[in-house]
This record gives sequence, structure tokens and C-alpha cells, in this order.
Amino acid sequence: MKTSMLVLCLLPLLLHAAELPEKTTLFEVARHLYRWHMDETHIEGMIRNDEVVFFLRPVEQELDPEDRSQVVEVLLGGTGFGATLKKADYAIPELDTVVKNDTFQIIHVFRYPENTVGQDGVLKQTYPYREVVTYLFETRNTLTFPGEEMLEKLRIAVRDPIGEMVKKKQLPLDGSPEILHLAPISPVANEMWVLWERGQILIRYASEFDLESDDAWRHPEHAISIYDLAEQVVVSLHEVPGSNAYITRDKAGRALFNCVILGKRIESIPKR
Amino acid sequence: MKFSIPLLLTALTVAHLSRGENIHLKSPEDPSGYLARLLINESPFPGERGWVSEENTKATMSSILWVLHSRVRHVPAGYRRYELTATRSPNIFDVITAGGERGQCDGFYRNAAGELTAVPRVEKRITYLKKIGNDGTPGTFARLLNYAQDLAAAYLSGRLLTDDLFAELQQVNGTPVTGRAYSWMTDVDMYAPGGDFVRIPDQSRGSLGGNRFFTLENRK
Repeated sequence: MKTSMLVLCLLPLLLHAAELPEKTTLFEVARHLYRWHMDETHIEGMIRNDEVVFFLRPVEQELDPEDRSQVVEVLLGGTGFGATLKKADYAIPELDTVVKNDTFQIIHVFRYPENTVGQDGVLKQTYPYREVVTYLFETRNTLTFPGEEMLEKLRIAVRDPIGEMVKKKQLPLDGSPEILHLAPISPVANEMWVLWERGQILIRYASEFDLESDDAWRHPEHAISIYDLAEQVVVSLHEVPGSNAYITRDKAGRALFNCVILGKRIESIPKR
Repeated sequence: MKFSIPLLLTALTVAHLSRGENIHLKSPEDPSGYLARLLINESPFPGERGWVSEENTKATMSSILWVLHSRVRHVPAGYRRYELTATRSPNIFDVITAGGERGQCDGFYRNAAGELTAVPRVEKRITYLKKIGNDGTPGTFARLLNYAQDLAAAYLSGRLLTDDLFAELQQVNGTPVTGRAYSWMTDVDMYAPGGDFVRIPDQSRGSLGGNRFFTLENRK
């Protein structure tokens, strides 16, 4: 009798049979949201009752046959922020390759109204606030930066669009070292942010493939976003309705924080 | 010596397809080729950020075309076209290129001579996608490239091949809306066009191919 009651209680989860992010992944999602999206008011909401609550909901998507990717929504309780995570697992026959992530990766961040939390199909994971903070504090200096090999791939990928920007901005290039600031790469966000200091240019590179793989760099055009901070920053996107070519001052500020304060400064000799 | 006719036909078909004739995407100088390139540019292919599935990318392309069409032909009551796009022109190519190189359709604009053009990265990606799609038997890449061309060609000849996914929307989270989508943006970090645009939620398929689609508040 007790066993059958237990099975009944767990039935929704068993039926889902979806893989869910591990604790470390959830904590890293919190760190990513903290570094890139939240401010102090959101933190206060997050730690009420001395606990941090994650609401998880597997997302059904219209996948191709044989695509075994998993998608999960994670809401960080009390903050109004959520993230959609994807663990890609599908083949691309034309490229004779497979897109397979080792861990869940953030593909989208969103705001949610608090009163929409707790709906059917949502799994609640609660952790003591101290446990989350201890993990984040003890690992705060465990920063991963793009290595030489990845930077070389990025240089090749952005060579042409940056070259066009350099011409437009009439920036003289005399072969002197250029200063780059690299944001730490998050284990839950398959993206790289780089600030070219003198050019005041912000570069974002994002892919479904893990950035460590050669596949992530095969055809970079769709992966690259480049922002001229002197021209493409607005206070509000209301100023440029519908355009995807701009970022907000808030976003630019957070990128600069991650690149300059948390990031790694390097000197790079430009190559022709 | 006897020949197997089916085997011969199969071999000829494979040889034909292997010669790079899987894709019928027109050149960018052709209006339908230019329009198709916009649909392709805004939509993910396998391995790219925003990829969900072949059907999802097709729905993305279709919905983008419907946004452009709605701006031209279905300006809602209480609105003027220039509120929806940075032009008063009812020409779809003026709508696409409105705002210049960094307008609504990032990278698509008219050059100094008034010719339809796009930034180099657009054609660079097309070249790469065509190379993949033309290799071997037609797969997802070829089907998607051809789908964009078919949508564009049909549209410019006066036919819409698909239904508008958002035509019947009447309200979003209690807000009365006009229905139809009138804007799309990269679905990253809570982007929103501002003003009277209303985010179409996931439950109404508002997120497609890494893009978020927006309808309008009903002003009636």
C-alpha cells in the first residue's frame, strides 16, 4: 500500500522521464544570472526564508526524429528571473557530426511574474542559502578563459566584420599590441564575450556546439554579434524599435563588468 | 550484358544530385533571392544558436514573412504604418531596408545607389549553407534553403504558402491585442521593441528559431 502510494506520488516525474540539471548546474545558473542580469533587489527576493528555491519544468519541443535534446526551464524563486536550458543531443548528417553537450546550457533568459510559479509539472528544488553562497564564494575565482587556440579561432571568425568596422571607424592599425578583455566563460552558457579596448568594440560568440570543439567555429556568421559601443548602445530599445543591432546601456555595462573587472586582460598583436 | 534499369536510374539520380543541384535559391540580385536571404539570415540551421528543428525553422521563416506582409497589408485599426516600421512605403523591400544597415532587418539595406544589398556576412553564410546543402542527397540544409526560396518566390507572385500562426490571437495575459505579429527580435535577454508591441508567449508559439515575435495592443 505504501509502495503504491509512493509510486502514485512520483508518477508525474516518472512519466516525464526527463533529465534535469544537477545541483552544480543550478548554482552556476544562479551565478550567471547574478553576473549578467540581476541586481541587489533580486538577491533579496531570492534569499527570503534563508533558502534558495529553483523551480524546474521540462519543456516539450517539436524536435526532429532522432533528436534527443532535453530542454528545461529553471526559475530562480523570488527573483523574477528564469532561464531556458538545453542539453543538445542530435546528429547533423550533412556535416557528419553530432551536437552533444555534456551539461545543460542556457539558451534564453526571461522574466516571469511570481504568481505564475508553482504550476503543474513544476519540480521544486530547495537549498539552504548558506550552501549556495558557500559554493559560489569558494568557486568565485575558478574562472575559465578562452585559451590561445580559441582566441585564434575567434580572430579568424571576426576578422572580416571587424575589418569592416575598422575601416568605417577609420581606426589606424600600426601593428602595435591591442588590449583585449576576456569575460570568464560560464560552464552553463556556451558563449564568449570579448572587449577590444581601443576599438570600443564588444564581441559575442555563441554556438550550440561546445566552444572547445572545432565544430563551433566552422561557420561563424550566425554565431557572432559585434557591437560598436560608440554607436550601438541605447538606454532603451524603445529608441530603436524592432532592431536587433543594438544593446542597452545596462547590458553593455554588465558586459564591461564581466570583461574588465572579472575578466582577463591580454595584449594581442594584430595579424594581417 | 544486362543492365538493371532501376539501378541505372538511381545511379543517374545520385550523380545528378551530387553535381550540386539540390538547391534552387536564386541570386541576391533577384528579388525573390534577396527576400529568401532575409528569411534564411534570421533563422537557425542545425548546430546554430536557436536551432530547435526543421519544422521550427520553417515556421520561423514563414512567421518573419508574415510580419513583413502584415506591416504592408494589415496595418491594424488605430495604427499608422510608420509606427510599425521606419517607412510609410507599402513596398515590402522598403519595409525590409527601413532604418538602414542597422534597421529592423539588421544587415539588409539600400546602398547609395538605392540598390538592395546586404552586409557581406549574409552572403558568406549563404555560400557555406549552400555548399553543405549541395553535397550529396538533399537533407535539412537543402530543404530549408529551398523552403525560403519557395516562400519568397510565391509571395512575390502574390501567394502566401502558409497560414499566419498569430492571426487569431485576441489577448495576451489579459491585454487585448490586434493579432498577427508585427515585429520579431532575437529572443535573448528580454529584448522587446517597446511601445505598444506585446510579447507573444511560448504557449502561443511566440518563440521560434531563437526569435521572439510580438503583436500589438488593440487600440480599438
